[in-house]
Amino acid sequence: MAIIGVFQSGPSLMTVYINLSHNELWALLTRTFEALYGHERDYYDMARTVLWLECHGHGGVEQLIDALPILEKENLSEPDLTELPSGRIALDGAGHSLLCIGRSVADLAMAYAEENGMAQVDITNVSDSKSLIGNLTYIASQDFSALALCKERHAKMTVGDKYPTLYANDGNDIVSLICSKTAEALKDSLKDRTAVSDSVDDQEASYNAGLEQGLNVKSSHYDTLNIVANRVLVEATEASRRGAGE
Amino acid sequence: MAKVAEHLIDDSDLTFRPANIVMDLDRLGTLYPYPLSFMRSLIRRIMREKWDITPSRFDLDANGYGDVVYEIKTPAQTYSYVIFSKFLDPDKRSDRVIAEDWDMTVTLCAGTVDDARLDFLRDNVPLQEAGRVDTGCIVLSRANKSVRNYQYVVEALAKGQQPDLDVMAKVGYLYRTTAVYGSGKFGMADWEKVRANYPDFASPFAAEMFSCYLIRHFSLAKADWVAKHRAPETAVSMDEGVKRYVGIGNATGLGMAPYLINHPLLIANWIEVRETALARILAKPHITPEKRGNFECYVLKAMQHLDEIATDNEDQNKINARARKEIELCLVWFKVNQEEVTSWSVLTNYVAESFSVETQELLNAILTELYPEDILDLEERLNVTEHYEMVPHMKLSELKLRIETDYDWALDCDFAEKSALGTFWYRSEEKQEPRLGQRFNEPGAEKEMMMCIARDVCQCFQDLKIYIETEGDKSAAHFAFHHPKHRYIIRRIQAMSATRYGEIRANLLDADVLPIHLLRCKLSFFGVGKFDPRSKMWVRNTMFQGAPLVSDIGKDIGDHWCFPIRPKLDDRLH
Repeated sequence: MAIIGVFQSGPSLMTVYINLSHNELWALLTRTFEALYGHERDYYDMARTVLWLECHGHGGVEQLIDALPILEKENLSEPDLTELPSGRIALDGAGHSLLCIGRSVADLAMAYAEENGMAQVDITNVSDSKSLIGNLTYIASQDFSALALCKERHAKMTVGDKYPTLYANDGNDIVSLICSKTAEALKDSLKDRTAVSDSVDDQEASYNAGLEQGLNVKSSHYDTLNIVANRVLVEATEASRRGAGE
Repeated sequence: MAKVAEHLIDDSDLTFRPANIVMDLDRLGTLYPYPLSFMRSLIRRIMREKWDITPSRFDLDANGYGDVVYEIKTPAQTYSYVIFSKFLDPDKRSDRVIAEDWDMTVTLCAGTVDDARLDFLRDNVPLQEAGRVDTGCIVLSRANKSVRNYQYVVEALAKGQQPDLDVMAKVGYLYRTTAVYGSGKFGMADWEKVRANYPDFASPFAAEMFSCYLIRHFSLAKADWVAKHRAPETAVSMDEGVKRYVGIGNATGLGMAPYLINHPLLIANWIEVRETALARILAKPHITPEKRGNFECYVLKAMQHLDEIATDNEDQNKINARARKEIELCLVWFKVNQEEVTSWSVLTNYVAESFSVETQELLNAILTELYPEDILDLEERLNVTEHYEMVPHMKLSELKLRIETDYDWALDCDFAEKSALGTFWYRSEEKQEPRLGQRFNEPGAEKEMMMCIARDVCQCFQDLKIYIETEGDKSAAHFAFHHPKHRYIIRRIQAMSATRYGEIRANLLDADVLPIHLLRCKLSFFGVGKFDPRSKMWVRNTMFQGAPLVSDIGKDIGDHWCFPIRPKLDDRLH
């Protein structure tokens, strides 16, 4: 297996990477989420969120690895939502990771925004809020503008933008997704913040580099994900070989 | 509205065949290659642009083992095709994906190859799935000898004789590919990169088809080479007419089936392009004498082609024999009723009423051969960027209506019947090979793949009706939030119901499902012919039989190599 060895702080702390194409990582992520949820959730779109984050320099794989203990939890109750006046929704995530329910949150925000012009989903009791950024291009592709307020950072993307603009969080713990039919409505949001320097260019450069040269993923993460993903595989037997036409 | 193809086909005045006819799996399993099949497109491009394909390295021993590098210069780029040919223990020769050793392994890569790169490729390409290549590689593939045919041909050439065409007609190739990988597998360049950076291969499966074409080229070169080294005094090269009749074999199994189900927008687009070509031809108000003559020639060629196909599969032999007989009757009727057949639709209507689906599709394929000038522009429409985005604000009443309208075929499946769920599809731990299991007799159903579109639509529809009754006509986002298991199928329904042809109409979980129809459907778009089913799950077939040779590049050779037939050779060759 071709791997790229990188000495970070001397030989004893060597971090080893494997170089993957976008498609390979996509396939691995898809199988990983399929292994975690079976057909009970939209594992394709979960994989897509992580792939987007990884390809654009947001550490999607790292986030997924960190989230695995939560994602592995069984018997979590389903998230619940309460509709408040003026297109505002309170969503109790029931302890889920936003890597798992982020797309559904985005769906709701857009559906409410379509009806009311604007919507705000305030999210509590969730983990991995940073992954919310991975849903902004999905929202913008449907002609909505959006603001993701995560614990780690904030991000804004308006219709026509290729990538979200990233902002430092000012210490606010609120997790929200704000969605609007018009870019105008979000114009003044975060206007007092300084955008993270070169964030848009960095995302584009990260994507292009990954496409051109492949994505470097830590081999330990790759192995961990494969252990999960391989749960979808069925043991080979003589009978199963007949199931391939032998 | 869901986003669909980037190129929405605008042939709005045409009359299209309806989806319930076209997308029926039994019909899709009878499709023949046609002029827009990918191999045909590729060869037209190679010939038109006069690609230069020459060996930059040809290090083979007397047995044909060693390294070969072909350098390919197109008007746009230079590529290298790297071949590692070796002795293979006969006990290890297998068509199965799970094989671990092969007679030859290959890669198509960008640019030229120096010694260091060749070393890297030699360390990895022969390992196939167990190796790692890099984003400079576009295709990874392998092939095995058709042992009997290869040995026979080499022996004949070594003796100074041309191979007997009766033998070549039975197995029309020397090597058989067993897997062709592209699109970022094993570290290769992603499709998006190929599409952006390598315009020569920016149409569907063009690079994969090119790889097969060069395996064919190498197999012919190797046969000549080995014969010459075996008997330098007597050996002759294979006649070019015979060479053109030699294709490249292919064995295709279940691995191809999930692709069709996982890329429904792409497949619907390919089908729509094909149907557009047919609709344009059927819309012609009259038929010129020249086209009538061409039609008769193509039918005669197709009849001979069908006569010459030899398979061990009795069912396939019967299908071929029936199609051959019926297309002859069609020709007789056409000639007898010339006055009445003022447009091709008169003929297709007659055939639809009189003959089998196989013959109907054979006729359609022949008709598309008659009018390249009217259909080849459609080549540009075969690419599509697939989007399956949720339309979150769609009202549930609208979603329900779309299911009732476009997925009526799925709602007609009776999943209360045990047999409707008798099959499950899964990935084996052996190279993740897709396999079929019997749901009620074999373990693993809890890990089944997402091949259950009809069942999932039905389950979604049932829950949707209840949700509407209890919650009212809310949005798709609400429904998906409360029923997350349906989110995927909802957005799939939304995307596919915006297309002309939608889904392949079949319950792939049925106990009696015939996956081979899926395989033939896709292979027909590749341009593959001579289907030789080995079971209901895998098929041998022949690619590029009759196609121009590399040595034909630059010559004035037409695009007429459909329905390949035995060449007529000078008696001195026998």
